[in-house]
Amino acid sequence: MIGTVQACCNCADEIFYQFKVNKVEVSNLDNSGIVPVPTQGDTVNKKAYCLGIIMTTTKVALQKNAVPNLFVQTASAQVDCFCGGGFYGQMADTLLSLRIYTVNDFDSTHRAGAEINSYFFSDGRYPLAANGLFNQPLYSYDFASPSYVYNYMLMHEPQFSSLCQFKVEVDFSNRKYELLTKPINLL
Amino acid sequence: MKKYLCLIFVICGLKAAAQQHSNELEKLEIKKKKLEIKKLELEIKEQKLSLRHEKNEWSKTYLDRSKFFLSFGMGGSIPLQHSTNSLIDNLVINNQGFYIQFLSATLFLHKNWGVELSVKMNPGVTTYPYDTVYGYKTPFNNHLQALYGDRYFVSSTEFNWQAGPNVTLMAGPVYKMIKGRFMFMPKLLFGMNTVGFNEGYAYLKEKNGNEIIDKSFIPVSSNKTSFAISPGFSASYRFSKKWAANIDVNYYRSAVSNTYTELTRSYKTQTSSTSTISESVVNQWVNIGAGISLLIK
Repeated sequence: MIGTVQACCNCADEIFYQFKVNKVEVSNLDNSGIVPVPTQGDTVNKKAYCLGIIMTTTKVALQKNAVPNLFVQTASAQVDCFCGGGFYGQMADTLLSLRIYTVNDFDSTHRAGAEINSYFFSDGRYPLAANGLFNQPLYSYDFASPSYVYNYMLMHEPQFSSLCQFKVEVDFSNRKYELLTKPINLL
Repeated sequence: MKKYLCLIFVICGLKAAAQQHSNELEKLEIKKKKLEIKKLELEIKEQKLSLRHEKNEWSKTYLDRSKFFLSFGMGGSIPLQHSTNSLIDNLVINNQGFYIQFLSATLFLHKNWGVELSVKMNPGVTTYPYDTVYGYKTPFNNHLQALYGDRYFVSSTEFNWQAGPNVTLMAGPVYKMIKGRFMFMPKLLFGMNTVGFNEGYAYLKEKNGNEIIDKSFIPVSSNKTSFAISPGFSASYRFSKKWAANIDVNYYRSAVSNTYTELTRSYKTQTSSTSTISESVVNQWVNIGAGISLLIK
């Protein structure tokens, strides 16, 4: 019995993980329903277009925490048999900026090649910063490689042509991704 | 002369005989009276003995212990009203679930008529989750669905940690009917009921569009006190000299009004607006419970 208790309560030293974004994808989403879903066709309701960005990560480092468990922590665990988290993930990446450009003429103030960040609202609530500044370190508290999903909803309708395409620039501290969405008709 | 003397002697003799006879009669009467007194004394002794016997064994009826008693009990409250299109009807915290009757004091001033004072509380009405335990969220969601469901997908939550327990303080006339160890007591109580109000929150997502609207409905008063009327009925069984078991059924009706502040935030236009909604609701519920009574006299 003592052995069982010890096995249960012998808290292992915490493990320190590091992750890094290794892939960024963009997609056209249809937000006509309750949540945005990837569109299969080449047409989306112009009031319900959503730009999806998915960042996937990979584990790049694993090391034991420099700070071992304190005696008090282990003693506490002996009582309640709970060792706490034990895992700490940290992203090696910091997302510096995210900019969206229109490939075609969108409206009179946003011609082809113009930044169109302010027309996209994050999860439909708040507009992206006009200069695309993010400056956000990415964190994870899971030992599995996390994915980051961003849904940017287009809150304005195109004036000139229904055919739209967007270029997304994602700038990390040490590299930059440039991606193009598939052309889509916003009707 | 001899004749006179003889006559005097005869008269004297007769007088003496008569006096002796009357003395004997008096003695007999005294004896009779003494016997009667002894009989009475014996009867009194017998009566005293029978009274002592009665005191040792308590009366099996309710009669000599139904003038004043204190009752304690608990049970369940069942709300009767159905949700309507009224906002407040869906956000009011009904008297429902478990209730405690802290005290009910009944004093009979007349052979059958008395007054009762009772305090009850529904302590569990502020516990989570409402929808699974008390079914609050679904009617509120249905209410919003009826208002905005044509244009928006609706999801809602509601809670209120500030609302305290619902307390009912009632008093009124009672009438008792006794049969052996049983007592039946119809009553009509009047008093007040404190009632809590939930906060309501709604998330509206435009159908075929990107518009998102957040709505909140905040009560101006988290708790309000309202007048309540309650016809009811109690049945008691006296199982010992000082204790009885009760079953209580009471219907309650209480009308209350409140004002809600409705805050609407549209993220598409990045604007907010505020309005107020004043409504009233009639709360109806039935308490069914059991308890014990301490029969003081």
